[in-house]
Amino acid sequence: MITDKMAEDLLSRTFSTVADQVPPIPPLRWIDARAMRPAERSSLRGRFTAVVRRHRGWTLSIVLVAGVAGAGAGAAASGLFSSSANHVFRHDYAMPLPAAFGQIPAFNPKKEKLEVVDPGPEGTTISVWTYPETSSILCIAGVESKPGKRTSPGKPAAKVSVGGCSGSGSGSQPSGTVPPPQDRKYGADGGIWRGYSGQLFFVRAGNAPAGAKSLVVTLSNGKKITAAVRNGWYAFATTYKLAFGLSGTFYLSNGTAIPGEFAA
Amino acid sequence: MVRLGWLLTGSREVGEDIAHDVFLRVEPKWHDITEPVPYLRHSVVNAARSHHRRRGVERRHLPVPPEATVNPQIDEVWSVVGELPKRQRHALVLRFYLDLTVEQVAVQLDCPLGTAKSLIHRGLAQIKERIGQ
Repeated sequence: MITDKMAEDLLSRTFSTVADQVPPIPPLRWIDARAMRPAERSSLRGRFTAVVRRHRGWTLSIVLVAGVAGAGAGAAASGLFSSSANHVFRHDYAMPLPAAFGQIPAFNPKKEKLEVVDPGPEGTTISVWTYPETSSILCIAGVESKPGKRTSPGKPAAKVSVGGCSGSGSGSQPSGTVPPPQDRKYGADGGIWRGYSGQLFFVRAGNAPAGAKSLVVTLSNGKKITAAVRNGWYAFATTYKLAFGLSGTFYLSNGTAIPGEFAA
Repeated sequence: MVRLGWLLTGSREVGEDIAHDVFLRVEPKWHDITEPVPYLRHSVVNAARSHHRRRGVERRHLPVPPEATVNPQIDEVWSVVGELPKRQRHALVLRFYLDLTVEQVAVQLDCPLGTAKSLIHRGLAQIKERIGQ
C-alpha cells in the first residue's frame, strides 16, 4: 500500500533524478550579455543558439564555460564551475544553478586557499576557496560541508555549491591579467541547490569591498542574516524562497556601513 | 530551466528548445524584469503548455517514450508521469520538483486554487494506483 507521503517522496526523487541528467549550466552568462555591446550580444546570442541546438550533455557546460565566459580550462573540463566570478553584482542575478555534487576536481590541493567559512544551511558551513588556475585566472568555489562539520584545507568535503573563474580566456572577456582588485571587489556567484534534506537553498559567494568585515543580508521576509567577511570574501545561504529581492550591506569593523548597492 | 522544461514535456530535446526560446525572448527585456526566476519559470511553463497544444494530436497518437535512468523504480514512476494528462503532470512537477506551494502552483498554471489541489490530488492518486499494482 503506497501512502500519499510515499508517493510524494517517489515523485520528488524521480524528478530530481531525471533532472540531474541535465548538466548544470553555468550562471551569469546573461549578465555577460547584458554588459556587452549590441553587436557582441548578437554574437553571444548566436553562439548560445548554436550551442543549445547542437550540443548535448557535458559539452554544453564546457562550451558555455570556456567559450562564452572565458573560464579556466580546468574548471571548464570539470563541468562544475560557473562562467565567471568576476562580475559586477550591483544589478546581477545568478541564474538558477542546480546543485553540483562532488569535490573540486579542478582545484589543486597544494594551491587552494581557504578564505572564509560562513554558516550554511542545515547546520553546515559554506567555505570559500580560491585557487589560481594560472597566473591570469583565479577560480573560486563555495563548498558546503557535511552537517556539523567544517571543510579542511586540502580536503574540501561534501558539495560544491557555487564557483567560477575569472581572468583571461577565449571568450568575451578581454585578454590580460587578473582583473585589478577594484574590478573584482564586487565579483560574486550564486546558485540554487538542493540541500541534504532535499530543501532548496540559495547560496552565494563573492568578494567584498575593501575593509569590509561583515555583510548583513536582508531577506525578502525582512529577516536579516550576517555573514563574516574574511580576506575579502564572504558566503551566505538562505532558503530559496527568501532569496528573491534580497538586499545587503557591507560593514566595516567599526560598524560603519559601506555605501553601495547589493541586490540579487 | 532546461530541467523544468524536460520534466514538463517529457522530452529533453524539447526542454532544451523551450529553455532556449524563452531565454531569447526574455533577454531583450531583461532590464525590465524585476524577478527573473519566477518570470522565466512562468515562461517555461507557458511554453510547455503551448508545445502540448501544438503537438496535441501527435502526442495522443505517438507518445514520446520516457528516457531511462539507471533506477527501475525511478523509471517506472517517470513512465507513469509521462502518461498523465499534461495539466496533472505540470502540477506535480511544480509541486514536487520546484517545491512550490499549492497556491503558487495555481498561479503558475493560471487556474483556481481548488483546481490546482485537484490536479495534484488526482495526479498523486494515479501514481499510487499505477505503482501499487
